[in-house]
Amino acid sequence: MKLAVGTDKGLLIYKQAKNNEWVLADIHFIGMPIGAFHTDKNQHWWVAINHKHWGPKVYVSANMGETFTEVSSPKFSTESPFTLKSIWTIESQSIGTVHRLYIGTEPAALFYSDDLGKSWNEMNGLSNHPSRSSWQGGGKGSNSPFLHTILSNLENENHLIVGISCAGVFQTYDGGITWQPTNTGLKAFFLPNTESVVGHDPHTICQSKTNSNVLWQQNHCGIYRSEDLGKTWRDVTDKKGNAVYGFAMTIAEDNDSEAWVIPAQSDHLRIPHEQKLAVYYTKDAGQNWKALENGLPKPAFDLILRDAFDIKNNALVFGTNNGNLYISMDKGQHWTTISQNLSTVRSVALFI
Amino acid sequence: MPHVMFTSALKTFFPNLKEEYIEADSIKALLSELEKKHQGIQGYLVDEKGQIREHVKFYIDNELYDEKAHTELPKSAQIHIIQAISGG
Repeated sequence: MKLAVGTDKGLLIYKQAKNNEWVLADIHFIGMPIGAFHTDKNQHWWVAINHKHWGPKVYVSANMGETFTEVSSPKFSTESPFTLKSIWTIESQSIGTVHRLYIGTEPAALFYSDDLGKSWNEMNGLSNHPSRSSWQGGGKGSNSPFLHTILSNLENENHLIVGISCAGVFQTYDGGITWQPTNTGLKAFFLPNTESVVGHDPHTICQSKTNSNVLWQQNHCGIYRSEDLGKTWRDVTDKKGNAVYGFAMTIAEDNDSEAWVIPAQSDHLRIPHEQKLAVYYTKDAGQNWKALENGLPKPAFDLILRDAFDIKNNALVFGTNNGNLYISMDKGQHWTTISQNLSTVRSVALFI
Repeated sequence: MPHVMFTSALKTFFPNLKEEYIEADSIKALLSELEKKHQGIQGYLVDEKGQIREHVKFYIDNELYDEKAHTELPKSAQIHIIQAISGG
């Protein structure tokens, strides 16, 4: 198994050695802030770099990182009031014979490419949504909303689900022409109307591989689960009050009832509860949450960002804003440290 | 003919970049000529609206480029394209 770690100072590739140690095998884009990493169905790597000086750039590697080629970056049209600030996520989808790529950006917009990144088209129906003026800024001290999650529906290629902070979950059933907010059941305690149609902060959204109707969401205001493909959401926040606020979430690949989150104490105190780093786990669709902390440090002052948690088979891995990297090979029962000397970890991805 | 010099940081992306003389009477024309010689470089220096990126600076004869003040490039202009000291 291999592990790609997107940090603020480069893309790191770890390999599992014979003695089960994880060894650093490669560093790509050294010193550069990795905005997104995606492996498509052809095992091509797509990497976004959010340069502070030179603007966001996109690269592809057809040989697992031996060489990278820069492709074009999404661009807002001259008529648009927006200019591209950063890339938050890259995804891909098969539509018939077309291999489509998606990029989610700040300011919040969804771009797609049907020519492997030579050109990008903006889904204007989302960018110009009637509710746009009520969207607010989100992460990294940003004052503009951004699109960080893209999910597609294997059974309906015209159906897409996106997460925007702070606007909420939006869905299209016509391939991106029209979009509807689907935030019923979510709470936004930071708004005067906590049950507002738009204005929510879905930090991250996961979709079950065994039952695509089941979505999970680590939201600014708690943890939610949907059994109707995100049309409605049910609050499954930890009743004991530990697993509430956080960014990172991952779910089991082989059933739709198991999920893991890595919470912070609160919005105002973005460090682990009582400074004890812990992953919280549910096996009953969120009815109960249990701390998994064997091998994780105390005191710890880490925050785990939205894309910095991944699962593959029984392996769970996460990286932190303080540059720490931890792995468990038994679904979170025991954790070991891979590194405590990285830059901020923004994304992790396990692959075979 | 204006003489253009680049921050070495740009050579990471454009290894063949070196100081050169470029026929141009404005920064816009200069960018257009640079793009012909070094495909893609314009996107590193300006955003999609044509504005010089926030953390990229152009100096003309040691003066920070100001779109309103520097409407024309002197033929003998020394142009430095640098990255602002605002990285991390």
